[in-house]
Parts: sequence; structure tokens; C-alpha cells
Amino acid sequence: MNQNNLEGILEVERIKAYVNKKEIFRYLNDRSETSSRSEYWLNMIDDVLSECLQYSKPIYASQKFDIERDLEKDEIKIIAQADQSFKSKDLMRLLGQSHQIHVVGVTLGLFLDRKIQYYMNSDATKGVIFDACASVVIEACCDYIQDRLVEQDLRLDDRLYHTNRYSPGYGDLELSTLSTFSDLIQMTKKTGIHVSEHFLMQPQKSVVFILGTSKMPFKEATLICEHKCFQCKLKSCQYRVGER
Amino acid sequence: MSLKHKIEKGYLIIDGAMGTYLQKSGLKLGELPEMLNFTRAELVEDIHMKYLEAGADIISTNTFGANRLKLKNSGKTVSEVVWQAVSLAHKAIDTFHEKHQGCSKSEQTANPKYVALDLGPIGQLLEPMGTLPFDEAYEIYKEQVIAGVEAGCDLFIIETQTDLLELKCAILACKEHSKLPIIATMSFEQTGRTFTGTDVASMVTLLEALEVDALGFNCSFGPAEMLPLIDRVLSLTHKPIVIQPNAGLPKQIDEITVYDTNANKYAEIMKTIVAKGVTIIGGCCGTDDSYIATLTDIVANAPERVKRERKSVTKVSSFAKTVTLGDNPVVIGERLNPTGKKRLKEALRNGEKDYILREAISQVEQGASILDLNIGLPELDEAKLMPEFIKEIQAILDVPIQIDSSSVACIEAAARSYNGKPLINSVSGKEDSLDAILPIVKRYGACVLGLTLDDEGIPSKAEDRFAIAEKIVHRAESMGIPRENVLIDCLALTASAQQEDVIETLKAIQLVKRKLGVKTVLGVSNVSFGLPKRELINKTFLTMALFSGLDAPILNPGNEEMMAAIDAYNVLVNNDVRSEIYIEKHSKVVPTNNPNPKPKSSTLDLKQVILNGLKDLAVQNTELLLETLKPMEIVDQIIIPTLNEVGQSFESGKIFLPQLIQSAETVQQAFERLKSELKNEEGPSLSRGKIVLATVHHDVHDIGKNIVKVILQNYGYDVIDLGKDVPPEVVLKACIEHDVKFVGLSALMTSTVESMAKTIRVLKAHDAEIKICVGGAVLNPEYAKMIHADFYAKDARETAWIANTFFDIKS
Repeated sequence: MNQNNLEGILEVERIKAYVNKKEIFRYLNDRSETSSRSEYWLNMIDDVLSECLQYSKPIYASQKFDIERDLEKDEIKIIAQADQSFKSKDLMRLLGQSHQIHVVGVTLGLFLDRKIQYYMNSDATKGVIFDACASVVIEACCDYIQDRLVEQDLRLDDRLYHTNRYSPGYGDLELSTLSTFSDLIQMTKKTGIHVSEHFLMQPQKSVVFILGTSKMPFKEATLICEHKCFQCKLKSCQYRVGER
Repeated sequence: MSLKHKIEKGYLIIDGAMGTYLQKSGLKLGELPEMLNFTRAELVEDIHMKYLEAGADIISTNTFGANRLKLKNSGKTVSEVVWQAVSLAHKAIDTFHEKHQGCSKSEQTANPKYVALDLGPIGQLLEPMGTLPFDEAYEIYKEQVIAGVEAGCDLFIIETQTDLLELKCAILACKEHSKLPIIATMSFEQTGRTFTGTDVASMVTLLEALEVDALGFNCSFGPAEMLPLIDRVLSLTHKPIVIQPNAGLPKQIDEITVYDTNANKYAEIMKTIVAKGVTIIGGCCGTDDSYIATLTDIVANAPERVKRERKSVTKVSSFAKTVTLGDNPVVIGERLNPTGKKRLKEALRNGEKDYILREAISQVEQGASILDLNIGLPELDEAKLMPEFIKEIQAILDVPIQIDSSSVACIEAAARSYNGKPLINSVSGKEDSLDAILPIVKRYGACVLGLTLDDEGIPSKAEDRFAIAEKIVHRAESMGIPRENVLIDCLALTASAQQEDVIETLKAIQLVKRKLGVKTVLGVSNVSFGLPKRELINKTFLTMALFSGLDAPILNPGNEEMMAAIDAYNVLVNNDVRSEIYIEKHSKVVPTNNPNPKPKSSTLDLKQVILNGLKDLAVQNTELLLETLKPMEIVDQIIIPTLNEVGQSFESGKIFLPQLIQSAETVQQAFERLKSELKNEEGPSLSRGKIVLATVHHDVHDIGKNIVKVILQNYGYDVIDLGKDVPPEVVLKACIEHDVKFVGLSALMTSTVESMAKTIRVLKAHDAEIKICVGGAVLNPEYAKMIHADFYAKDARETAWIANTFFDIKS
């Protein structure tokens, strides 16, 4: 990954190590800690995961922005080149003393969306597995990109701290900010991700996230941790990790 | 020399980037570049001047995003922006001419300059992968085009397109509102496809069909990275090629984007590109007037244009696949035609899109390269439904489609919104048919299948059928439809009724091939009607027809004997060199991948088959049970209790989602067998009630909804699945039409839950008796109550339980 590229095609081979197979089972309502499914199902999931990786065309766009925090208005303002601000108490809390944010848009591509629909219509059993695998693969891409961005920042200054990922629609950060973030990084042009009038991303296996960078250490709650759901207000979500 | 002529015969230089200049001059991220036509008019005009001074023949207006969606909050209309942009470009040209030649643009000059209305992508993805309807996209482009024409642009440049269907919208808007030249370019990735999967061949096939004046590539990367694409496109088309690369690949240095190819390096590669045969060149992101200046020298010293011969190739395409006829036989799958197919008729009447899709997928998997689609039932509005079905098929399959209808309105609607170059079935030798169908063929650049029949019927003799074929071909050519876009079907007659005429079909094929040079299609199955061992007759006739020159048989690709006959034919005529394909397909016993192979004797009962998800055994076991039980007894005594057991296992975590689905699919197989049994006898249907299901307006997530559908069907409900992104009024209409009192709505986004609330309001206002069950990741019981839903279901099983309770109470 060229650290200076604004966009990039991710090599699937590099993403594989980030794929969390346990998560596939969780998406498929397998609530056991370690899967007790038969060899038939384990092999099927492996095969479908391989196919999903084969058809994934992960591509991303990202850019780093200096930010200012307006504590009175609970606004994060992106400075230099843009007069864009985002009102969100939760984002303010997450970003703490961050002076910069990375904005990233990443997708697995439309071909994968088509494949999911293909299997849902021809072999629904495989289709639901394929969909679960795709959800896990896009997360793996996000994890990979996040690691690379953190590495890149630490190469420049090893005293920097980073938040966890945060996305439009989390907490009180309005989903409508997707459009603004998309424009900021020219996401549609660089990745083919479109944001509809009602803020759906197409292709569906797409993610936009923000990563805060700070020269000061964060309070505990905003450190990078395993549980990505802790700030999400959808307590009843069946996919929630950690406490409900 | 007119501009059209120049595009066709000469070299032209288009300007470079506008956005790059504007950003350097202070355009902020998120700010609309088109507003600078008003707030920094002198800057925009100055940029145009720079490019004119650098040698550009064509300057593009600052209107890349000047569409009604992007300008929504700008305070300006599309017309205002386009007028202002075109005016600035004209002003720059006038100033340039006055400076250099002392005369204005309106007078004859030796070096005319042209204003291109620049049309960029709308910014929303079209259906079916997105939510923007085709007709709305067309209207958006139409608005820009009309304004541009009225403002006085000289041509259109439709650029940076990644969606072939959107590009088609833009081209139609241009063609239908002016006669000005059209240049169309797409942005590809280094994979050789656009983001939506379009390959160079499919782009060329459609753009040639729509008769753009020049086509090519822009943006994405620099000229070096474009070379493989350029070689590819030059090999495929005679059309003038346009290339507008970026100034290399972008890098970010201190929040500023810089590109890695300087003007000299750019020129070096562009020189190579021109030498290959590209005749219209310019620049995109990162380029400026210094880049364009280097192109002037290249063009001045360019070799004389080598004429690339027009390729007379018969091809049809989708958005991502082009099928060429004439090399090897091409199978057109015939199963999506309701004639003689009860189940398909039922599926069409009930709007069972998933059945249609399964048949489409199955035919492609069995070897069909093109799919025939006919939905002709008297009670159906074909013109409305055919485009819908095509959209659904094109959402998951990339095979070209043969639009098969006797309704002119249907053919027009389907060909218009089809993503690619379709094959239209059909036109005949009748005057009213020629008058009605050929203009549609011309308008959309389609291929058309001509049937050798006229007002007198189907002639007996080959020579008479040939005469009709000749008439069709010549009439098409007189309307500007190239000969290679006409295919001929010499019509197979039934051997049992018109035995002498069967051979005439083959003779007619030979005549058509020899004397007209067009490709032939034939539906072969008719020949054996009324005779025993139909397959033997069909197979023999097929082989005879192939040898006579048949290019594309219309048949059932699921018929292994027929497909094998084609494989054998390919060996015998040396199409399949070294018989590699034949050997691969026919010599081995293919091991099954099914980890649940059929037991040697069927010791499992239907309950066990369902519990274990053994789909392949469902029909067999159901048939055994039908020897002793009635269909409803099988449903009530075995299927429903077993489903309940499966559901409980799922709830307790003993099985997980794929196992639930596999059991559900097994039950579906059993139900299909039971339904066919019920068609043969009188008595109650299996249906426990009707349910309308939909993913709400503006939402396209449907996997959860589809799982709910499968489970509800398992429990014997007739599910009217309206699909995704369904407006409230469509849900209401379905409820009224089918007399439905139970509706399931799904939404996955907080932004689309409002659509759910609106749908509930619309339904309740019409009929308070309609009960609505809602589900989706963003919902919970409290929210469901807030939007006045009657029920909330957290998953498919709970939906089924709620439906069971509702229908039991109702009955």
C-alpha cells in the first residue's frame, strides 16, 4: 500500500490474515463460543469464504484532514480547503484531543453484490453464507486499512495516538454526513461507491469510517479495543458484540 | 469541414482539466465547481483561454456536475448554470479569435474552436444496483442537454462514466433532443472493467449501436496505464477513439494532490498513443495548459489517419458481456416463455420474480449464452413488466437477453431501458410489422430477428422464405440498420403435419447464409411436435440445421441430449479443436460435490429429509407419501410439525442459519411437487393465506426479507414479494389487487424507517384491517409501536409465528 496514494486496490492476499472466521459464524446465528458445526458446514464455509475473497475487488479512498473542535457547539470542523463541520457529541467524545482525522471509504465492489444476489436466488443456503462472509471480509479490509494508516502516522511521529473507527450513523453522528465525507475524499470517483439520496451506500458491502489522530493519549473509552459496538446505541441489534 | 466530419476524418485536441485549475485557484472541497461560473466567471473564462492558447480545438464547459440533483441547494437552476457556462466558453472563443485573427467565432475561420457541453455522471447509481430509476436519470440528462442546445453548444462530451446504463441515458437524451455530435468516454480500472463491471467490448458494442461519433476513455489513470485499454478498443471498433488521461497517478503530499507524470512524459506517451491510431486527445485530472500545448505538436506531426475498416460483426451484449454470432453455435435459452408452461404462467401471474430468476440462472448454468424472455399473457401489462423482469435478471446475470414479444409497446419499453445491445424477437415480412419494429431497432441499435413469414403465412418453399428474408434485410438497411444487425429465422415446421416443408427450412437457411450473409436463428423443438421420441427428431434436425448454417438454436439448455449434439457437432466441424471441450465434458464420470449423497436406498422419511436439509431427496420422498396421503395431509401432518421442530432447533442454537435455510429450501422442493399434484386434482389449495412482503422505499437491503419469504412459503403462505425499494402506493396496490390483509415490511437503515412509517400510514388510511408486521436491524418493539406497526418480528421465525397467529385467528 503506497502511503501517499489517495486510493488503492487492496490485494486480497493481504486481507486474508485479517478475516475473523468466528465472526462469520456469529453472523450466521451460531452462538457457540467455538463452532460445533460438522465438517460439512466447516468445509462449506471455507469454500464460500474462498469464493467470496476471489470475487471481492476491494478498493478504498482515504485522506487526512486537520480538524478543530468547537466545544460550545459540539462540532468538529475540518479546516484547510473545506468549511465542513459535523455536529456530534459522541464524535467529539471519541476524538478527544485529536488534531487530525483520516476519512476512509472502502468497498468490495458491485460484482460481489451481484454474486450475493445470484446465490440468494439460486442457492439460498450458500447465499446467506456468502453474505456473512462478505460482511466479515469488508471488516477485514477496514482493519487492514486502519492498521496501515496507524503505521504510516507512527512512522512520521511515534508519539501519536489513534481512536477506534467511527462511522456516520453511529451514535449521534448523522447518517447524512456520509455524503459530506464522500465528497471530501472524492469517494464515488475513486472507488465507485455511491451514496443514495437516503444515504444507502452502493455497493452494499461498503464502509466509510473516521479515525482520529491525537498527540495526547485518550481516555480509556476511546482506545482501540476489540469490541466495536460499545458506542453504538442499537442495543437490540442481533449482531451486537459485548453487552446488550 | 463540419465538426462531425472532422471527428470522423481528422485529429482534434480537447482541453485538459477544469477541476484541477479551480482547486489550485481556491475551490474548496465540497464546494460546487459549477458555481464558479457565477462567482469567479473571469477565472473560468481565463482557464478556457489558457487551453485555447495551448491549442485546444474543443473546450468543455464547466458543467461536469450541473444536474438537478447536485444543484439542488445551490440556488441556481440547471438551465442558468448551463447557459452561463456555455456563454463563458463562447466568450473565451470570441476573445481568442479576436486576439489571433481579428474575427469572431461566428465568422468563418481557418481554425474553428468548439464548445462542448460537458456531461459528467449524475452522482447516483441507477437501478437495479442503485435506486435511481432509468426514466429519472434520462430526465436529468435531458434537462442539461436542452439547456446546452439552447445556449449554443457545438457538441456533447459525456465523460467519466462508469455505468453503461447511465451512459445510455445520457446518449439517448442527446440524440433525442439534438443532432449535435456526441463524444462518449468511460473511466476504467486497471482490471479492464469499470466499477460496475463493464468491459471494453461491451462498451464498444453499445456505443457503436447508439452511433456516437467518437468513444474512448478518460480519467482513472495516466496515459501509460491506458495503453492496454487503447490497444483493446482499437482492435474492436472503427470509430474514432478519444483519450483523455490523467496526469499519471495521484499522490497526496501535505493534503495536496499531485500527479506523477509531467507534461513532457505525458507527451511522450501520447505520441505513442496517436501513432497507434487515436485521433482525439486531451487531458483529465492533473493536466493543465502545459500538457495540452504538448499535444499540439503531436497532432501537427501526426501520421495520416489510417482508416480502420468497419467490422461487420453480429453481436449482442449486456453491460458486461458481448456475445458474437458466427464462430461457434450460440445457444439461446427458451425456457422463459409461458407457452405450454403452466408453472411459468402461474409464476408470471403471481409476480414470482424469484421463479423467473431461478429459471434464468439455471439456463445460464446449463450453457445458454443468450436468454429469450417472453412474458406474453393476456392479463399482464407486458410493456410495464418486461423492463422490470429484465432489470431483475440484469441485476444478477450478465448474459444478453432476447426481448421476445408481439407487443410493440413492450419491445419499445424493454429495448429502451435494456443495459446493452439487445436482440429483439421479432419482425416479420408483414408491412405493419416492419413499420412498427424496425424504427425501434434503429433507435436503440438493437439486433433484430426477422421471421420468414408475411401476410400469406409461412411459405412452403425455401426460395419464398428467402424472398421474405431479403425483404426484411433490405428494408432494415434502407433505414440505416446495418445488415449484421439482422438475423433471420427460417421457421421450423412440424414434420408430422408438413413433412415436405421441413427440409425447406434447411434449404432456406443455406440460401440466407450464402446470399444475404446474415446470421440465422431457429427454434428447433417445433419440428417433432406430435411424433414419438421427440428428442431424437429434435437432435437430428438440430444437427442438420447447424450444418446448413444455423448460428443460434433456440432450445432448452437443460436438455442434455440437445446440448451434447452441439458438442458433437463442434467436434465434427473442427470448432472444438482437438475435441478438448468434448472430452472434458463427456469422457469422465463427474464426481459429485454433494457431501450429502443420495443413500443407496431411501431409508429416510420426509421428516428426516427436511431436518437434514436433503434437498435432492425432497421430491422423491414427497412422491412416496402421495401414494398414501393427500397433499394437505402431508403439509399438516409432516411438513408443518417438522418446520416447527426446525424452528425450535434454530431458536435453541442447535442449528444455525444456513441449516435453517437448507431445511427451508428442502421444504420448497416438496411444496413444488405438492403444487403440481394439486393442479391435477380438484380440492383446496395449499395456501394458508396471502402475504405481501416488501423492502421499503429507498432501501435496497433484501436478504433478511428473502429469508422471511422462504420461511413463510414453507408454512404454506402465498407470498407476493414486491422486492426492494418499493414505494408505499405499490404496496397498497398489491394489497388491493390480491386482497391481502397481512403485510410484512423490512428496512435496514435508520434513514429508510421513515419510508416504513409512510407505508403504514398509506395502508391504514386505505383499510384499517390491514395488519402490518415490521422487521429489520434498526427496528425494535418500541419503534415499531411508534410507527403504528401492528407487529414487530425480530427474525423470520417470529414472522411466521405472527402470521400463523393472525391467519388462525382470521379463519
